[in-house]
Amino acid sequence: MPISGVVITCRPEASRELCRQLDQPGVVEVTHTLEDGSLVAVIESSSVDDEVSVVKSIMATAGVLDVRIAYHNFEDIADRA
Amino acid sequence: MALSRRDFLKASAAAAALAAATGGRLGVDDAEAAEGGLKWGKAPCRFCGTGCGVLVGVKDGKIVATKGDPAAPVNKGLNCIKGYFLSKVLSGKDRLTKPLIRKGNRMVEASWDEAMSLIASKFKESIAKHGPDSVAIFGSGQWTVFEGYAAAKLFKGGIGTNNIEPNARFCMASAVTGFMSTFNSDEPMGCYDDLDLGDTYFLWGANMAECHPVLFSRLIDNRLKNQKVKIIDFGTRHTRTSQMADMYIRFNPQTDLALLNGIAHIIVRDKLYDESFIRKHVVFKKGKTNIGYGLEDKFKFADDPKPMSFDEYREFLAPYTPEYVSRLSGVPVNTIEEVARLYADKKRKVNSLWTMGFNQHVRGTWVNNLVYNVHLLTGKICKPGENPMSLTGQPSACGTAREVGTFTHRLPADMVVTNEEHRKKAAEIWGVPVEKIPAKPTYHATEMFRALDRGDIKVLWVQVTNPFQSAPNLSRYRKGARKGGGRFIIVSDIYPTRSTELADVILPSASWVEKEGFFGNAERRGQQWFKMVDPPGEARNDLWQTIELAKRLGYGNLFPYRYVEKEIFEEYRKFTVGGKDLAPYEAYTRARGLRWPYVNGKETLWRYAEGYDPYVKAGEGVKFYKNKPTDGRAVIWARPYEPAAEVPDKQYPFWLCTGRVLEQWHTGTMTGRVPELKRAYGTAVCEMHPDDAKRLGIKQGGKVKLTSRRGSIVLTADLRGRGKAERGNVFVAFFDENKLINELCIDAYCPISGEPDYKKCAVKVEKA
Repeated sequence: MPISGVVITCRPEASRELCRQLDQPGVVEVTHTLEDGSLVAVIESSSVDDEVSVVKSIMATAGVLDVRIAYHNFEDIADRA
Repeated sequence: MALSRRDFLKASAAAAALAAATGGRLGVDDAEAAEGGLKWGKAPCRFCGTGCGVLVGVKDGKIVATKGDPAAPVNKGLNCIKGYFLSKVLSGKDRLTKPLIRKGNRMVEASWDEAMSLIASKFKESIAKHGPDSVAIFGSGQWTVFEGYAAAKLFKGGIGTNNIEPNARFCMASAVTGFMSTFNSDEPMGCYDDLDLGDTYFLWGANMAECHPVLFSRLIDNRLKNQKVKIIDFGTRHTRTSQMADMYIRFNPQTDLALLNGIAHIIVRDKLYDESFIRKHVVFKKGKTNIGYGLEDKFKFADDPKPMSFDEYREFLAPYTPEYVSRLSGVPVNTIEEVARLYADKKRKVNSLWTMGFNQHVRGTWVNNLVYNVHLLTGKICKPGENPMSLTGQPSACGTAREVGTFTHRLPADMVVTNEEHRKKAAEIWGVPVEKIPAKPTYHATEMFRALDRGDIKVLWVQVTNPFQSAPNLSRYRKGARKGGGRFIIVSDIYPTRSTELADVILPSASWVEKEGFFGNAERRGQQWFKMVDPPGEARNDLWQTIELAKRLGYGNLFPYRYVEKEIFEEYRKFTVGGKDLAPYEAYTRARGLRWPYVNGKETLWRYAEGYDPYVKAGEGVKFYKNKPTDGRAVIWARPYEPAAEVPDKQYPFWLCTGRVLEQWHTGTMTGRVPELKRAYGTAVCEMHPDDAKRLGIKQGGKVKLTSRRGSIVLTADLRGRGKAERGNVFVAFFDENKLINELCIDAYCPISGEPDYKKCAVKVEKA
């Protein structure tokens, strides 16, 4: 199962609500909320396909300005990746 | 409690993201220590021209992880969504793994020896019968520096033809001629630091949010920290960038020329210019007008620059009143006035950024000149946080195509074949007689494919690109390639493409970290990487392929290297001494890229600026020292508005614009292999305005037929997508190999740069 670490840039005023809204145990875990309103999150899913769907849905959420990827591990599906 | 491997990876993911978000540092060594079993190596990203740093994690010979490189100044540890697919693009199911030779309608597996022997025999035969100008190579801004250099050396210094061109002619050539005509040196004065340091950003024809997302994120980060920051998006299509900008200014296609003259008009009219800067650093010139569109085969153009005074320039600008420009462009008068004042505001640090909207333009050189005019008038140039900057679309369009000089007219490091001294210098470094390098350029890219169609070129080798999908007026050139009559096409690639299907020989190539490489990005940053994994099957890198041909043609002596990549680089570096000054190869193996000129162990952030550029002396402030003919001054050009080559009329009433989308890169040969991306944006659609659709009876998701004077295509209508076409305009992305939109595009080009205009032609739109 691939795992990625992402940084979500938000409108600062929307950050607190987004933290609550985006957090989905086992899929999106918001691990840190930073001073500038950015969120750090870990995304887990069964395939890269799902990971990308999750990221795109975060990108499309009101108040989210951008999602960037810091880390992506897919070692257990490397043959298929 | 012991952590499971999964818990450990989750913690690593969170830590890497946190480190990137907070500016923490996690180097290769630390990363290796933290995740035992994975070997990490650095590389620039394989996709666009931004040059993001990536760390690649390899285990048991396979790539199993990637991360944004926290030590990379470009992206500071964060990649865009394409970062998810960096390794996947190497492992598509239909990866080419063996050479293939055409036998009738079938492609049959062959050995490398058979394939290279056949290729060499075709080159020899064609050269003997028709001369060296009957063979050609078409490469790309995805060539590594080594690959581009070897190809240029073989063709110009060995075979003795200037028949070498990159696909960068299709995307960057106008930026080059803009730089050369204004500053007499290619490549920008500024760098990406300007994205963090400025406060006013004008985007011209650039959908940065989708096409340069990491750089756009830097702008957004800057705006979050500084309320003064304004992003102004000039466009002919409402995009994700427009959505996030402070101002979106819609203008009629081609009228950017008038708008920029209108802005200059106001700056001069209201004396908002920097008189001292102009007096010290600028001269004025005018060139030919009504310069044509290059629609005829063998079209030739040479400009005839004449000096002019500031007063004459003022007279030239006189007709570009805000009212006149407003009528042409559709931009309200008060907006034009406001924008001119923003450009000239002495309390603002102003930057202009552009991509294909300017460059793929029948007056591409002119519009590049015009944006420089505004920065030169206001003196907002060569300062931290205040610069014009042309962004690039390919990872080494700058480093290889432009700086190595893989164009028909170029030699390495800004030199040209038409200059005898330059030929002598190249011949000396290459160890060939100077007579070997022809003094006349032959064909730029569009003319090269016209020459193939006519039969003037017989043998064409295509490397690392897909011109039989990406050329404009595509049908003509696709048919031309299969006309027979001795024509022979070789295509080196990693997947089957719309170009390999026309080939007589297909060679399987290595890609990205399957070979040692070097790219140069849009801010003059050169980046080196080592090979990390083996290519699949019998695939081999393009550098090996070119040198193998050289050996078989009797030019093996031109490539006497043992450590090929390093020795090629050091040889190339000789061309750059005293100007572009690349660093020693070893320095790049350690650094996360270095920006030239690199002198006395230091890179240069801002060119032509005292305190940053080693060639600017104390007290000079700014010195455009490369422009020796104008005594170190830049040129403000009088360039008028002239219409596009083809404008909508009664029969073809819509503008067609083509371009890219976030999920797919260029012709989709790599991103198209990623099922996730295919599902996300797998088929090209026709973006159109809902009012136009309603008038024509077209519904969201309905079929629409586009017809130009060159071809027609049926697509699905998209009235509410991420990109929104303006009234009277349609937009289609060019990545889809099953929807060859470039068949509709006109092969008109900028007569100075030779770059085609993919952004403007006239089409009819009907319900299908």
